Amino acid sequence: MADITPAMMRDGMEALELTNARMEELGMPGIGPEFAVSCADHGGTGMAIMTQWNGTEWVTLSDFIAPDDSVTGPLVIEDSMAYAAEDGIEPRSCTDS
Amino acid sequence: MLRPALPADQGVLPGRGTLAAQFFLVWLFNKVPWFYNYSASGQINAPERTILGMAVTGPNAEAWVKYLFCFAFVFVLAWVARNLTRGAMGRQWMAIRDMDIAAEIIGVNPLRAKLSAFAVSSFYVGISGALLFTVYLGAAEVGEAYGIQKSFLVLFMIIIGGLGSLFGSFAGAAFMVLLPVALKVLLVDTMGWDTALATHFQFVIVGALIMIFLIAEPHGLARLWALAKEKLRLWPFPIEWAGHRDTTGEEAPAAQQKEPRGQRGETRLTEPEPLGRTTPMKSLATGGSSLDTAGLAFADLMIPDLSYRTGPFAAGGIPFSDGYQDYFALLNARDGGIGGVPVRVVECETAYNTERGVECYEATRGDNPLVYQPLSTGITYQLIPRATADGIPLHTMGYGRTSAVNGEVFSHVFNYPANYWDAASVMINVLLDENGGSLEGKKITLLYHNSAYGREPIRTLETLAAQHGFTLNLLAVDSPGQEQGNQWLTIRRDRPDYVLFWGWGVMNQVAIQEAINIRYPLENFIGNWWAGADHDVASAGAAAAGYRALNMNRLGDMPVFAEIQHHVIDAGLAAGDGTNLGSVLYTRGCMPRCWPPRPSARRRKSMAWPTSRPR
Repeated sequence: MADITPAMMRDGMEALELTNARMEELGMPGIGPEFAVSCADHGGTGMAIMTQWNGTEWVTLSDFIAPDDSVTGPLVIEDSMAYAAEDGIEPRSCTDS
Repeated sequence: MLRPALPADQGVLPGRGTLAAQFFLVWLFNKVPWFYNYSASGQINAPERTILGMAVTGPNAEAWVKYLFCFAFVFVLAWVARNLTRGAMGRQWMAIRDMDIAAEIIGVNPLRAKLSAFAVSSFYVGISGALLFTVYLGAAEVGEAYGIQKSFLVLFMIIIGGLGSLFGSFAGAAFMVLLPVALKVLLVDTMGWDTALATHFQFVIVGALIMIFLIAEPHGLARLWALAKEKLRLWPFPIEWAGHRDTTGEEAPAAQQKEPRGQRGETRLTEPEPLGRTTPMKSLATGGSSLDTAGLAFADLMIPDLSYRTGPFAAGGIPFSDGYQDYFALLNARDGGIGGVPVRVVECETAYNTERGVECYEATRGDNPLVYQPLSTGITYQLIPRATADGIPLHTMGYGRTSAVNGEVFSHVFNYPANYWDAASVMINVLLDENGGSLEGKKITLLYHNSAYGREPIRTLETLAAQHGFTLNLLAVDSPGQEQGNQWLTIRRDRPDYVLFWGWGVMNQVAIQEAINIRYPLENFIGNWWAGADHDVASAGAAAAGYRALNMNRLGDMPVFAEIQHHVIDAGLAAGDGTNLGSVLYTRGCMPRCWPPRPSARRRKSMAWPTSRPR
């Protein structure tokens, strides 16, 4: 266990599956939405809650709201491919062997 | 861009002109997209270039190659400078500098002399600016990399080093670059002070030194060095030199100190030098002071914390860093670390400055760091190619480069749980919900920090505006965001239905106060998750009621806070003063602990791919 390398850290982050049970186990129940990370998707679900200041404290107004993936998805592909082209990166293929 | 350090009563116009140009050009480069290559973030990147088969720019370039490349420039340019000042042009410059009216009388054309001095120094500065960007930084954002702070830094190098001396430029540059490193080693590593305190002291010391040098020793370090050599030549290393034997006893020292003109070229009276070749020196001296555990690389888990406890964004940086560090302290105190291995957090102060963020990365990357969390979009853009080349993951949760969600291109960057384009989309979804599913004809203004961070949502909002039929107005606020009067006048005039806000640090409080001042309905003023913390609204208090903000983490008390209070804060192990426990940003700082490392980190091969999410 002592010899965790950054490469192992990266693999662990890519394999992450965050469940409610795990969050509760860490003493932070429901701190965020449940999500899983994969090779192709490093972004989680993208959900957020809306809060409001009532003068003395922040109050939660909603549960986790989802974004519109049909809008953000194509923009992600466009921008990341532009970066890959500019910096000469060969995108890796994310089909598991 | 710099202004040549001409005497105050002469050449004021070029000086003022370049100062004005500093601000005008920054505005221009922001305004015209051609200058930043139409990139979504406003940043330009240096592509990889090679010389003799070795990379000089880009993340794969080795340090010694970069050093030699810059050194070659320094060598050639210093040689040229030395000879220029000894030639006719140099004599003309000296004549104008010493007494321009007399020089004009003897036939030196003042306009030509001043213009040529200006031109030559600008040429040198241009070369160092290009080297700074391509070799050292790798990516640059206008206004940050070449802001007024950089100009001040170079000016201080020259003043402290000694005006009119080639050696002085080098001495001043070495001094200004090594000073923060020396202070860090002395104050933080040796004496155990807080990094924020050490940073504050750096400002105090530099300011004091400038005053001292200008008053007591205007010829700077170069003169001090010349005097030191003088004294050392008399005692304890007496040497013979042309025309004097050291048998004259006590007379010689006094006479020599008054008239060191026999020396070769160290005195101001003979050797003025053009200014501004200090950047290559800079790239030498950075990059490596805190590697105190070289022999223990695998005995603990090293987590670097690139934090900012000073500067205009500290109000946000402090609680986040406290949360980040306190959770690891809890694990160490309560569980003996992770899987029995203690966690060692190494903090490095960046002041939200991109360049210092890169320096902190360079200083810590050799210590087997497991993951970087720079809490700054600007720094993230710089670290993406470097961390990827070094094989170290970057966790940029809810900030950074949004398109990094595409793991096929960005193998080492992780944005979860959410990113800025998601935030923009969620805001619009909420507004659609409130408006019966349609935003047709509405006016929405985006008030944003004029940086890579603030520009992130623009493309998404433009797409959504086209899709849903609302008008989008963009209002940029220059960093750090304390001046927003004009923008709020525009908002008052335009009366948009909603104002979406991408601010951070001091910009948040100012914006909220301005909104209150113009009586903008606060429930229509919606900030992103970096603009919805306690300190942003605390000073306005009840007057800010109604202001809304997104959040990527839930609020409120959690069992972990009681544990942190008991094991960490009460035991005196807290990173800060413990007052931030449970605040919005502190909670967010604890969130990364939800994620690896944990003992069973090798599950990937056996896991089935999740089916969903068309990204």
